[in-house]
Amino acid sequence: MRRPSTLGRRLFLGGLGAAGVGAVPLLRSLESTSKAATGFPKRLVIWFTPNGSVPEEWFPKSGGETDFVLGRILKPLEDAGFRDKLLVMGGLDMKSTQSGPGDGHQVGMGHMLTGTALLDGDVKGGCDTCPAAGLAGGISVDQRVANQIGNETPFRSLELGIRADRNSENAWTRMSYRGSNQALPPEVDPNQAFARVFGDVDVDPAERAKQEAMRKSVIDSVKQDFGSFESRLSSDDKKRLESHYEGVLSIEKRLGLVGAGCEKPVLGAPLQNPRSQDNIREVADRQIEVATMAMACDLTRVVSFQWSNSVGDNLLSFLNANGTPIADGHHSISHLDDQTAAREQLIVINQWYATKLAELLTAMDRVVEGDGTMLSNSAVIWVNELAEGGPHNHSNMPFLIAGNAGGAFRTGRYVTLNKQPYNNKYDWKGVPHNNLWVSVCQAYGIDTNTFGDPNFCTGAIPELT
Amino acid sequence: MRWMWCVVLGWSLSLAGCVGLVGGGDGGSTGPENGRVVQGIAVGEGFLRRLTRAQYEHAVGDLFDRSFELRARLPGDDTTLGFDLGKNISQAHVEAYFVAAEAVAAEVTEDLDALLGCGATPDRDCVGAFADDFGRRAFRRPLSGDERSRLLGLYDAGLGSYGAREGVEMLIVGALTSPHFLYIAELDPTNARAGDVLRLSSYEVATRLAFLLWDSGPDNELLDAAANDELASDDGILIQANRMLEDDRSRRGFRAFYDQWLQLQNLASLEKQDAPEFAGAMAADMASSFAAFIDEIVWEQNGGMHELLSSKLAYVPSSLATVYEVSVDDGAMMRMESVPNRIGLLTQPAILALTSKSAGSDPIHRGKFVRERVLCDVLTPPPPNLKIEFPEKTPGVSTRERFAQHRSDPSCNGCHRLIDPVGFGFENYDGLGNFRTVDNDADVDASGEVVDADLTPDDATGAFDGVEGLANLLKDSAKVRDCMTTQYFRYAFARGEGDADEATMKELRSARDAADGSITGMLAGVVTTDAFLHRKVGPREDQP
Repeated sequence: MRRPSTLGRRLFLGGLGAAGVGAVPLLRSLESTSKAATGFPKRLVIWFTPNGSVPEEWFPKSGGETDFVLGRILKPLEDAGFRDKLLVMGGLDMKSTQSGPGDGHQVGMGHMLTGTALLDGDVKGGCDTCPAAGLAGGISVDQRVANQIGNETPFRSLELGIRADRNSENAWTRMSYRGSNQALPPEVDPNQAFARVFGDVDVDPAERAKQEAMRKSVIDSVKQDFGSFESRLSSDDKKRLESHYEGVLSIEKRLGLVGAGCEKPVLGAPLQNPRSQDNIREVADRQIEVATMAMACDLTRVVSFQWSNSVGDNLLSFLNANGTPIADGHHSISHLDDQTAAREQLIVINQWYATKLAELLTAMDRVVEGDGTMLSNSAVIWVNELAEGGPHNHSNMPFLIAGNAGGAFRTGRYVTLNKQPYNNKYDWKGVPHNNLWVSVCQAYGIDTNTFGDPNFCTGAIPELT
Repeated sequence: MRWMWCVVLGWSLSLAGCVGLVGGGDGGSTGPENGRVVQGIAVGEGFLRRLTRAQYEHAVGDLFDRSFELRARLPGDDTTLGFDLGKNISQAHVEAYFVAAEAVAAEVTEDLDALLGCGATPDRDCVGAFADDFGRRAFRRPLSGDERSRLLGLYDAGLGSYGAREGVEMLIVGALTSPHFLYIAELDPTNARAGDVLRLSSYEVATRLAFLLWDSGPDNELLDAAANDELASDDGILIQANRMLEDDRSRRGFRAFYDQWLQLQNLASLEKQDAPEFAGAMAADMASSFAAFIDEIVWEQNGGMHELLSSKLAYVPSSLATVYEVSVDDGAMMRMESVPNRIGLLTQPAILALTSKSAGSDPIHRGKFVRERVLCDVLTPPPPNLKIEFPEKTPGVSTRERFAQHRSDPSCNGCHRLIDPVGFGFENYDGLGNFRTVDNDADVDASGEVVDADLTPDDATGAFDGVEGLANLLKDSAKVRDCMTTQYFRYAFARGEGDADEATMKELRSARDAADGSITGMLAGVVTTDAFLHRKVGPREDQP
């Protein structure tokens, strides 16, 4: 048999993204709601790490709203100079996880950004009494915001993964949803993400123009073929085909947005295996670079980082805890969090994730926008599918906001949202996390007082603004 | 009838102008046919299947009689029960389809004469003939008049602005990014009612035959058979199916099944802590060695589960000579009638490495593999609050002993009494598939047992010694045979078997039994089952 062709380089050129020149972000005329007070666009970044955290080192150890003393896990953020840009929230509960099917990890991951019950499905979780689950039952907050602020950029949003599972699609592996049952897969190879977003530096402008013109004609033409499917599909299939059609329109919209300016990151040669444990740090660094530049160039305003998956078992053997390298996967360790040695390992792991977050914030803070930086025009929100790994609980979640989204949030603060103390790890004494997403929607100009399942939402959180 | 697509896509109104469409331009025999509703036949409900990554790669390759490496360019497929669905669709998919199609079109138009056979400067009639032939194979039915004009319109546009090559490129991209190519478009008649069971049209049957048996689109001969309505009868279908099974593409088609059934897709991304040479080359050789074994058993020996589990045959590439403890010329793949300490697919290095940890063997993974993939038992994942602690690796303590906690802890024992004693039977093989009698300075104990899973007596239970003992226990088991047909059903129809599929499951089993349990008998049998020839209309928006 003839050797399979890997296809010439020429036509993978360009990806579908825009590319350009200079280092000044594009500015287009925007509705005021999606613009920060400075006139620069607002961005939203979601930063997910799995398996819960360690509350006594996550939440501030002492002090009050502004004179709080950070624990070991968040300390790297302070050390990197971001104390004033943090809004640490105590007393957020993922109350909606009480409804619908799924095990602790499934509901955590699926409700985290949607605040909505999972659909029934055929994936049985690790819990005898939990009904088998499908995907999430509603739009995730990043996509809700992307619908508002992402329509004028070439990419409405970017979903980036670091050792996330791109292939298996289920409630454990997906967090971002266009709508009910419509999961968005994370791109796990930074060089593929780069090719998609930035195309190829060597593309000759005339060649690019030709490619775009050809693509535009094809898109115009191919759209017609969707017509013969109309009224001849089940309602589920129709929704899927509509997503497909929407994807075609989105590519079309992106054509012609090329030309203005920003600088492409230089990533280095593609990684042989971006899924490899050994490459985890390199993949993370590259994804951070792609994301930062994509936002700086205004190619997108909404990015999510998905570290592994819920139940992610990253083996972070380059970290030392208790004087020895960590020898087990993160998820395996998280089940043993009632033991001193394992708890120490979990603190070290979560602290390392904070270090990486600090690197993202630093990169965003380096992009000067008017009197501020890109970070001050953004909110970067750290989320987790569990509060703690052992109990698999969903109350008093380790969530925080960094950056104030152009003045929408008051940062440099630690706010305690629960009015009464928690009696145990499963107590629902806090405010529903759906309320946080209402506040976030409002910060991006969305006129709403509810998000996700309205039974678990009582409106925006006044303490945040 | 004229209508506007963007009316349906309400939320995209602001993004694009409306596309006016002339209805009824779907071509072929997929048009509204009230007569296709049948009574008295029950089948489960399917969905509009997108080509999986593998199907896309094969179908595009076959269209141009070449092979391309495309699947790595596409986002992953969603799965159910371990089988690829082709149900998820995202922006990333849509983009990848454009990029891949443009790359393919550029490559195949490098020599326009070779592609079209019209000389260096094709005239429009010749391009028209290409559009008819290529279009029919891409859409798996003749193009409608509108579709033909659309594709030739792209050619004209490219020709007008750039040249003939660009015109043909645009025509090809315009076909490969169409939903008629990207989906197995079995469309409802316009007056369909939810729950109706429809007999497939001849072209739909041709398409299902090709994707099931070849993991690709139909060839001209199959489309001709559909055009002549030869696929309306079981006999006509079997003539084509038998022709297709004689073709080498059916090996590729069956491989798509067992790659998913036995999870071999995961082999490529596997790493082994103490064997850097494993990732990539060695893993690929294990997969080739496995494929050669399956190919001979299934396609040359006409074997079934009995042979797959108990044959001593092995194909040994030189890179696995050490694993097999034989000597092989460098770069060669040696066929051996029998190899010491090896039996059937369960001792294939591909399977042993796949079901192991990055360092060391993994009795639990191996036991689970046999339970779920070979016996079709349903296992529940561990409860979320469980504390799993493995003792440190200490000299003189075997893997088996280290994993013994499951058996003593009552909260684990429920499932692990099913899993572990099966997996312990594999302890003669390390994480790379090497045979061993000593593990971590302790003698290997490879005795095992298949414990009855559900209190319903079956013929796949009992004590055994080593994988040879396990293979002998399972090779003639009806439970094992039936599990294989069940797995094939899940693969073929991209869904779990439901009550409505009972008749089809029976047909599958009897086709297999009538062919002495052979896999090829089962493959020929599936194409005349109720589920293969029919589909059920799903809930529709217009019928709340």
